[in-house]
Amino acid sequence: MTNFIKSLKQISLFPLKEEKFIQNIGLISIGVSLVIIVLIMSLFVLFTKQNRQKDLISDGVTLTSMVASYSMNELKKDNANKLLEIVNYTGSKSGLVYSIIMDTNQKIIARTGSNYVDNTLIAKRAASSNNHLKQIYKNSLTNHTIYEFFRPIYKNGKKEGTVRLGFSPDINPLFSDNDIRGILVIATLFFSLVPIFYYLVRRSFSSLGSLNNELSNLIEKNEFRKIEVNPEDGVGKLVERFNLVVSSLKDKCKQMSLSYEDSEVANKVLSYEKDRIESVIDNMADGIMVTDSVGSITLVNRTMINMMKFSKQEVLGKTVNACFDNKEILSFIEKNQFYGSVFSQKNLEIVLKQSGGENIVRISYQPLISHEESVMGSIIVAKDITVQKAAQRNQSDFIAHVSHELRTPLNTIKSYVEMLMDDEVNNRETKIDFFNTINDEADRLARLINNLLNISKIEMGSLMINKDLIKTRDFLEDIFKSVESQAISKNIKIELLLPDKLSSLVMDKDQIRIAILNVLSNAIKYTPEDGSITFRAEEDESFIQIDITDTGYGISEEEIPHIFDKFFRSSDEKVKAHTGNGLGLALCRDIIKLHDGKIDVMSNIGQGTQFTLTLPTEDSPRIKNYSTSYHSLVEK
Amino acid sequence: MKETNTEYSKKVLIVDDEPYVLRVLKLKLENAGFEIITAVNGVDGLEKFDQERPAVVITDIRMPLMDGQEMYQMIKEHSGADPFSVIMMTSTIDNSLRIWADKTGNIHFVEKPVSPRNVLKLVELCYSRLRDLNAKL
Repeated sequence: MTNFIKSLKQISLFPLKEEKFIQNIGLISIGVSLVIIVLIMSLFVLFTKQNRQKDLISDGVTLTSMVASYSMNELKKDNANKLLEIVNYTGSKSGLVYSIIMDTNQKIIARTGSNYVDNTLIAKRAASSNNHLKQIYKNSLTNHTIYEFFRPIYKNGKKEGTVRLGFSPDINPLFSDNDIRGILVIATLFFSLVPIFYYLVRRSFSSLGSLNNELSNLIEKNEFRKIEVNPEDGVGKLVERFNLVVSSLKDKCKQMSLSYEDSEVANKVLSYEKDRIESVIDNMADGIMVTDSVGSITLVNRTMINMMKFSKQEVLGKTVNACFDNKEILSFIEKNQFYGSVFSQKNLEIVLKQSGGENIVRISYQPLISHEESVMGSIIVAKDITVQKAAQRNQSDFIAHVSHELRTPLNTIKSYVEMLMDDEVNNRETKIDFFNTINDEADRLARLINNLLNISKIEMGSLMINKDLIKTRDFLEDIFKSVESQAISKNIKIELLLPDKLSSLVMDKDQIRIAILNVLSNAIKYTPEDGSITFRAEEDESFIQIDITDTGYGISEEEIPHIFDKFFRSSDEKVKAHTGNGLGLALCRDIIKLHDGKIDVMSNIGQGTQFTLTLPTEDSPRIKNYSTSYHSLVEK
Repeated sequence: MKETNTEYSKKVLIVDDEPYVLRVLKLKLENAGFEIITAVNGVDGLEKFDQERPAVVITDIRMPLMDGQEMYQMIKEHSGADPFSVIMMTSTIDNSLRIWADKTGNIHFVEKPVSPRNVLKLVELCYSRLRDLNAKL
């Protein structure tokens, strides 16, 4: 719309002003009426002149004939004068300026109007124009045109004299009073017609004026109202049509601008959508590559680019062969492209060497099928499954660990029972020992199952903790006694250091026992023979701090952050030499956290490890917020 | 070697990281008249094999330091021509293990939990076969 108006503005080099137009009409009508008046007057003058000439000629002929009908005798001095006075009177209307009667000797008998006549000239002309009835000459005195009529006076066929009458058409005023009055009436009439005409014209063109106004509005302000059309208006139909044209143009412009705006909006939405989809595709964790029907790459995302050794620009438009240097991937894609659905392998798992190390990538191939069921190209997706694989491996390792751990005591129980059944054990002491072993192994099995159950309960957030008031000293002494024999059998010096008084703890006795036992049995397990373990408790304001210090293998700096991770087992050969499921410390940390406590570890490889368990006492302010912190921990 | 034709070595090496297993199998086999040597892992087992040259080796597969398969491989490579039998104790006999066993040859499996009776039967079977083999030679 705006463009259309701009072009209109460029076209309208002439600014239309309605007032000027109407003013011009006024001036034109005045001018036209003036011209008409002048025309009428000139016609009138012409007509009068012609009439006068006719009158003049007929008067001239008539009057000369009348005078010539007299004889010279009758025209004695007085008579001649009287006659001429009559003639003069009659002819004055037609412009008679002089009259002369002469004898044959050119002697003037009588005359009138001598002012206009040069006598000698008259005499001369009379001699030269004897035979002419009329002559026209210019009076040199007055510069008037003179029509002169003359006629000889005969008596019995003999010329006795001549009569001459001189007329001047210029002598009388052109217009009579009546004439002037008539002209004035006509002029007034015409002038009074001017405003009527002006009004009529103005009314006829009033639509044009508003048309002009509306055009100006249209050009300058981009507004157009329908022009009111006077039905009597001369240009009404034209303006009506103009109305129609403009309104239809306006509608079209509106539609165009609307559809233009719509398409603008649609374009913006489209480009926004395109950007969004591109960024979504780019930021996907999986590498994506799309090829067309001839195998050229048409789309590739950032993740895929990162897996290749080329930039996006280098890859687009090339075939897959140019992008991968791994033969396995290439043959996989080629087979899929060549054999299509006949080739049943849709996935390829492969180890890719990348800057960040080795990654396991699963490449899948999917043909792009159009609505007409023809192959338009293919989608190749590369998914980094390193973490998944590691998790899978962890999981299967865990299951293997667990089954081994479960089977080991079961194995012992079964074989020992069988030995007793077969009566292979004769020695009484050995027999008792066998029964004890079976009992211990059954306990070991139960402990392991409990550990597994607890950790899965904590993980699922369904562990019920039953808090009781615990006499800390007794509780710790019990734990110490339960592991003392284990340590002694390994020739490890184990020491319990407790202050005389310890505040009570509010906690789930069984859970905390498991936590402390896990740390303690680790200490025994990973401390070589002849080592020492210290089990110490101290009270500090509202906390009880339990330290378990050993002279074991120690944990390397790199592994310390991971020791509380589930399934984690040290890569240290000395540690690996002992069975373990990587659950003990994970469970311990979870339990301590559930009791608003914390667990810290300090270790030096080859020197030993110290675990510090900090638990809030009964009157600790943190106990009061037990329920909330319990939940927050479970959420964690 | 000719003296041992009739009186073939009744030495049996048992390798396991679980002391209870060693204890029970040792007792069972000793009661049946075998001479028992025990080792707690593959490395230990390898050493003991070199020293004692047993006719039958009973070993766990999952063990720290060196597992049963590795130990067997090492024994085969370094022990010379003396024939011997191997009994492997495992919780599951999967395909890869079976393929390995077919390739390697002369390996028996006992599934866990181990029955000392079955182990004894198997040891006796191995022993008699070895004696037959030796008699032929």
